[in-house]
Amino acid sequence: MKFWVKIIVALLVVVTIGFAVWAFFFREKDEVAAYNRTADFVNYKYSLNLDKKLDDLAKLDYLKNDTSMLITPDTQVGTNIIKVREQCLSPYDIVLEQDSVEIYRYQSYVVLEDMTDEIIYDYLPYLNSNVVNNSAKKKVLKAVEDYTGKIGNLTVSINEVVDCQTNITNDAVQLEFLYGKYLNFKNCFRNALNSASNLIIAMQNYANICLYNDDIKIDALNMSYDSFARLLNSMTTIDEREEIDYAKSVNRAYKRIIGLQNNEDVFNGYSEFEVLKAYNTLLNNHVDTLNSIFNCRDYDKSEMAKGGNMSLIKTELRSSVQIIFKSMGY
Amino acid sequence: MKKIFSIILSIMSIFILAGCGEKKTEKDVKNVFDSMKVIGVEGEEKSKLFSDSNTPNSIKIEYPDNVVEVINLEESNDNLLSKCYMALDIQQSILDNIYNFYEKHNEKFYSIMPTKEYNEKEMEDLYNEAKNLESSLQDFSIQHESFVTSASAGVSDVMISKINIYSYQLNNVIENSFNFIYKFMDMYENYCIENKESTSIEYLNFSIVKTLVNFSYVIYLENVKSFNDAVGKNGVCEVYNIIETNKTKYDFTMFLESFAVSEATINNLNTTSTLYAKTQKTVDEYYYFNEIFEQKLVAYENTYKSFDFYNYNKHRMNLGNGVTYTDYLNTLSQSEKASISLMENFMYTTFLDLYEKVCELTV
Repeated sequence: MKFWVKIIVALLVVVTIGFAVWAFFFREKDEVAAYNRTADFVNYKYSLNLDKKLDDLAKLDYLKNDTSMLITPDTQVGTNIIKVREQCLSPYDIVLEQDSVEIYRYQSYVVLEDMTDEIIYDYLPYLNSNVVNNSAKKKVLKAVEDYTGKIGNLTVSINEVVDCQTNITNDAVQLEFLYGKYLNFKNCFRNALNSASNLIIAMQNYANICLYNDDIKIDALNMSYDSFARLLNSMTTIDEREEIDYAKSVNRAYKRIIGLQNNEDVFNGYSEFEVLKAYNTLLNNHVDTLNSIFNCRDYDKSEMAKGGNMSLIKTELRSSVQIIFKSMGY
Repeated sequence: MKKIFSIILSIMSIFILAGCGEKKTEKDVKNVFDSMKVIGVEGEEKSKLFSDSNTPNSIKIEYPDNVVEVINLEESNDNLLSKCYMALDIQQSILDNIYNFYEKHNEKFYSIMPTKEYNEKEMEDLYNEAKNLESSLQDFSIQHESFVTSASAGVSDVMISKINIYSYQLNNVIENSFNFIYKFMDMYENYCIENKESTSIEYLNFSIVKTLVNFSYVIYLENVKSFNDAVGKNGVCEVYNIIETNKTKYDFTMFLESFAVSEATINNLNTTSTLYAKTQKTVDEYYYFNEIFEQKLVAYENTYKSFDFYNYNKHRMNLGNGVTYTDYLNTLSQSEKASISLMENFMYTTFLDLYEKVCELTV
């Protein structure tokens, strides 16, 4: 055999052996890839100290580091900035009233973000499993990668807002510039929430947390997490002008989670089992229908709770749809 | 070429012969079990080697031939030693619960299995677990002899040292017992129970006793196993070293009592009165919580295995050599804290929810 052929064969053998050693000893096992990536992301997000940054921004309601230069609603641009700040940063429910009567309420982005953190944190250890589901694993990895990018953008947008706000005066033009920064911040935050909801849905699908009799695959709290994530996904995907309509649904899901955590009765006259059966009927085999009903406007959801507006839904699923919305308080 | 071929054929034939072992049956499993000299575990020959919880400062040793020896620890003024014995008491209770299941179900298992077409690999695995258990009991019995000898001599330091080795060996017996009993339970459920509907009383009885084994497993992981890794002379005695300061955690050991479906439950399920509907609803709820428990037990176990539970336990129980529990938590990453959160939620929500339902159905 020619010398150079021997070299190539020898190199091929070395590479093959090296690959085999790597595959056996060093390659990350499929079973832990989703857990490792998500754990890395959770630790990375925590290291960014995003909660503190958002909290500091919420307290920064003045310009140029001068507490006497408050942002006021005296001008249209001032009103706009305050409105965006409330939508993004308010720690309290945002309530719309008419003649002192509450019309509806919803949560700000920062409150919703806290809830997504809580859910991801709760789901994380469940990814540490011996079961490998490749397609579900890929969705988790993709969702983590996407969310990492969106969080990066959000962090940059916060820095830009703070940087701008601490350097401008009450000049109308500069305030418009600041408003532009706030709109960008809001957009980044919205995108981050959308990514968070995708990650939660992917994690729930991968972790396969609870099984009961093949009919019920998740328990009450996980069902609430799932509906919250899907509704949040709808809210942050839809045209921004219609967002508040969807925020009302997210509010119902959010309140249900809080109620369950406080051991309250949150199923509006239905038993937990009835609601779980209805929800799991759609989640297990008709997830497209579940997503489509969550994508409806608030008024349509109310109609479905009364048994109406279901011409596009299969007959055998209609009672489940009605139970899902009635139990949510529609 | 012929030489190479003959070598390959020889190697292949060795593999084939090795793979074609004798098929194992339920008789083989029973023979292994019957041949085991089980101390403190099996029915008639039970001997309880640990302290009476009513008199914690004494050691009561009962031998199979009803000889009782009492060693009074008050004279040695060694609280640690008596606590070590109480820790062993928890291990004994765990074993009692495992074998409670076996005692209740082995007769039917061995009589039904010859009539069933079962998976040979399953039976072989069960046999192998029985053999592993037998081997760990042999090692354990050596330590038992050494332990009893040192207990008779009454020298505290020697006894503490012997207890650690004895307890470590007993943990091996417990681990192998769990491995055996889980395989046994799976096979029993697959082959020996015809009616697995929620209306079946036989299935309810089976499920309740199985739940007790699961409770024992979790309590073993939480309270005992992690101290196998203890560094330092006290080893598993640290389990009881903290009882005085951290009672809340060890309240879980009270869940090692035996359960049995109550007569009232059975009567209600056999009637056509309104009590039937109410009791059946409780049974359905039990199965629901049990299913959630068993699913989340998998996540709990996976998390436990990949987490430094010993260090976590030490710091939670203020045995961290000056490092407080809060300081310890601050050293953990968010993902590690998420693991702790899962394990605590499992114990303080999932476990307790199921326990509540079990209490409603049992004596």
